[in-house]
Amino acid sequence: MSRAAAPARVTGNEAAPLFWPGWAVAVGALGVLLTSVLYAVSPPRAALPMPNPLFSAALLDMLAGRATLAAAGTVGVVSDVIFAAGALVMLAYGSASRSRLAPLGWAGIALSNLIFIAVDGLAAGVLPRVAALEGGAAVFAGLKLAYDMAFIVGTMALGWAGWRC
Amino acid sequence: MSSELLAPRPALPRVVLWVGLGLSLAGLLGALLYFAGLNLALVIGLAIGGGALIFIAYGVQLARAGRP
Repeated sequence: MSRAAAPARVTGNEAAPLFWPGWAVAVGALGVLLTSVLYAVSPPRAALPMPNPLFSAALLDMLAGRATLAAAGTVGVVSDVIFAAGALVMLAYGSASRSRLAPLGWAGIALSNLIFIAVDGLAAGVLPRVAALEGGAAVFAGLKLAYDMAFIVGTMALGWAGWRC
Repeated sequence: MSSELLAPRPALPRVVLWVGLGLSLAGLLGALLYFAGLNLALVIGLAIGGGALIFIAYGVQLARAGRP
């Protein structure tokens, strides 16, 4: 491909639509980083997807780490919304002028953040409360499986999208 | 990251984009291997955290390039 045929980059006044979505991506990603740190300091069996989970142990860990898990989920929900909004505007205005493949990547980033809104929402306000319920072990097990599966699917979307951007 | 790598003037240094590409593929692989029963939660966590770090820099660069 000749240099003249390469996708044109946005410059000057044409680039103005990228200002706020760029900041939304940066601020959303900063929140995702903080969320990751909070998940990392939480008990792993409660915070991270496990292929063969021991639900009784996950429940005890959820109770032990509910403060950091709820904090991670709360920060994560807000960050995911901001990150998704930035990615959607990038998809609409910015990405096609940078590369023909980039819109697929931004669509994947937005989709991943929408999935992680469910993941972080479960961590913020659902799983810790269900774990604390008397006789709530079966409900907790079902919700933890849904949490793990959404976490995995969201990570797949993010991995694919980050590759494409 | 692959689209940005192909750009004539990428928004981030190419070495950072290669790291981002590696993290993206590690996250994708770690998540896929969950279905094979492999516990790669640490890889997934590092891929998400590291990827977020790169997207912070990427977002700032996009905002700077698109300053009104």
